[in-house]
Amino acid sequence: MRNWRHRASLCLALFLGVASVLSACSGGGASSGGVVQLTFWSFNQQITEQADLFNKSHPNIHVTALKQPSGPNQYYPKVLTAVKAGNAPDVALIEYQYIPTMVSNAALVDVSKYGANGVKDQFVDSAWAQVTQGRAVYGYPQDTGPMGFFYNSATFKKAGITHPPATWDEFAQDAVKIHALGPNYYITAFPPQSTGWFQGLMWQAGATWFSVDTAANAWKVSVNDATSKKVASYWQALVDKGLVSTVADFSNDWNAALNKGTIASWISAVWGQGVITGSAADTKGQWTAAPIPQWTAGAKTSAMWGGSAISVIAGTKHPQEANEFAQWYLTNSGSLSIGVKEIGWFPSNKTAQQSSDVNAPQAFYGNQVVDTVFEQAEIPTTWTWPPNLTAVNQFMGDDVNAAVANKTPIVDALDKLQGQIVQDMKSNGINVAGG
Amino acid sequence: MADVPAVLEARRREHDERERRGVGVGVRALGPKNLLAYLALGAVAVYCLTPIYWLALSATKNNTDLFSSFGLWFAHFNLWQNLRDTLTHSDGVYIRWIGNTALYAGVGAFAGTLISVMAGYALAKYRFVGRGLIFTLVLGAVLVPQTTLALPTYLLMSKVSLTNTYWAVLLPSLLNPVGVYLARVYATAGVPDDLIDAARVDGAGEFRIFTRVALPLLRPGMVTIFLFQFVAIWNNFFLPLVVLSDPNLFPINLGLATWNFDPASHELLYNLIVTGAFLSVLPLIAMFLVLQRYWRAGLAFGSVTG
Repeated sequence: MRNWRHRASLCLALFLGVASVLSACSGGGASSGGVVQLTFWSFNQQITEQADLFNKSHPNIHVTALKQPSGPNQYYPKVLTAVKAGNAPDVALIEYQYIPTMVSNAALVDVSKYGANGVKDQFVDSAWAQVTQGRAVYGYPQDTGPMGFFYNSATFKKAGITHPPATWDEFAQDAVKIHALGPNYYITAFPPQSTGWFQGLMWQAGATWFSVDTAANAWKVSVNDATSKKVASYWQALVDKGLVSTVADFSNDWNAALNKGTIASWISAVWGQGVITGSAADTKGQWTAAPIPQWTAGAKTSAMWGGSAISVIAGTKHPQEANEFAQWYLTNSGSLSIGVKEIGWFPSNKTAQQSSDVNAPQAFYGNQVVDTVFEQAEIPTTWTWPPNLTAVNQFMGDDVNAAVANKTPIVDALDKLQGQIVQDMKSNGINVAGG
Repeated sequence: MADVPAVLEARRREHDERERRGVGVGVRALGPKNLLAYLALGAVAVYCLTPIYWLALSATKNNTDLFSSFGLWFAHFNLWQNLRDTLTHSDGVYIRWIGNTALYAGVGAFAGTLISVMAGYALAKYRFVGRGLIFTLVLGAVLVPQTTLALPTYLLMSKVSLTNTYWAVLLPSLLNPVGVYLARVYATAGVPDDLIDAARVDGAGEFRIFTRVALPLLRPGMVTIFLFQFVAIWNNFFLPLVVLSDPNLFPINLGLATWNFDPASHELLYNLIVTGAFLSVLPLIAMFLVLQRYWRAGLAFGSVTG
């Protein structure tokens, strides 16, 4: 008669037992015995190895490294929510392009007051420019993504081209020769949704889409200035003549075309070398890296596509120690060595960039020392990212994609984009100059 | 008193047996009249199975073949290597993710089903003040997507310091308004009031009536609720994404997302992600096949008198 009661209480006991075991294995957080506990978020592999190294040499600080899912719609909302709830990590990886967005959400700590400027000289200027806003320093530059030109020399040779295009004019001429090989042959793809890529090309041409007017304490938006329209018109012509494919980068079709050699080049960042190795394995030995084509013959101007910083996150109870870890992470030779060799960074740290780990010949590229090509890139430090990047990229992807799909002018898409961005900034309470 | 469910149980078994032999109602031979229906069903089946076919096939390919070979046929057979790599990458963290997912979905769906059935039964069989209001609230909650609740849930969890623990995923998974709604419909239709009255006359307490009379009758319905909730928790991405930050607590889907392409890394893990995704659907498929019988019964349950 009392049977069920026994059973119910047994169930309950079991449930609670399981529960307490569960909560027991979810440790972390609290500081114990005078050791400062820090958490570190990144979406790179092997970060626990670096944290272990730090913990060994810093008995008073213990860093727990937690690898997070990447992706702009996952990682950054997660960090921002955690900041809002007051349980954000102490240190986190933030891509350069998201730094102003994070700053406008008051999510980053200005580390200049913890002596960040003392290590400024250890990093390449273009990367350091990405972590600073005025006098404030919002982290340390981890890796950088200078842009260059990867091309399939076999396809180029078949089209009678002996050297990579040095200028965009040459590039347009080569596009004709390569398309003459067959209707499926394209010099490259113009991926209309690839916002970071197109922004990189704008940056290289000398455009400054966003800037801060310090006097007016307002953002200036110039997405549709003459330089940007020049770049847009250039690609418009190639798209209109059918000389470039408009398949999305990283898509199946794109990967397959790279592997067949029918998309003959990729204007990409230094990290692109790994992508080609992975997706175009059949073309081993045919690829070569060259500087990105220039608007002015003889120049060496490039831009950045990708790259990230290590920032101290607002709300940390131990900003001093968090800064110590962040600085150590990108200046310690052991940590940098793991970053370069195991994670695959193209480091912003000058010493690491010159090391033999970085500058190794790549068998896939016919034993070319690929990284050297990218080290010579000169990157304008004038480019600033907007404080509402998620919205900007959303609008931009939609607008450019629609222009290509509907065969309407891309320059018109830029005009539209300008209006949308200003509107979005205003509705989010961001001051816009002259808007 | 214990004989009553036994009689019903026997009747259900008989029904199942008839169905198994194909002598039930509604089973007809293939003819020109229902050829169209078969074609339509066939098309739906192809539509639903093609992605699974693609996934199974892709799990046998290496990174290059994944992109360069024809998507719906084999290339180099790399399945064993893929499996080995998936299960051993990052010190075998995938196995941990399987365990976590099984725990979230298993415990969450089991306890959640029990709660749903208790609530649904109470709403169906007891008259009390506020019953209508509560049921309306439950119906309203059905309309609120789980994703929109993830952030408020996170902020609540954070207040009580439960973020980044198993509880952060388990607790919100226990409540399932659809389950309560279904359980109420099932209880209304499947548990006759007379039966409850008879049990009361025999001197059984309310809890005993629930466990001994109502639960056996509701079993097919419970399986349906369990499956729905199991799948919902198994697939839930946003809640764990927001409330968990320790990879050791991640479910499979979130874990696989951490293997996704990361521009700073030169490691491409597409084949492991695909293989991992393939492995992760196998338990779901197995569960549906095993519980299919009950599930079908549960879907139709209450459709006559409900």
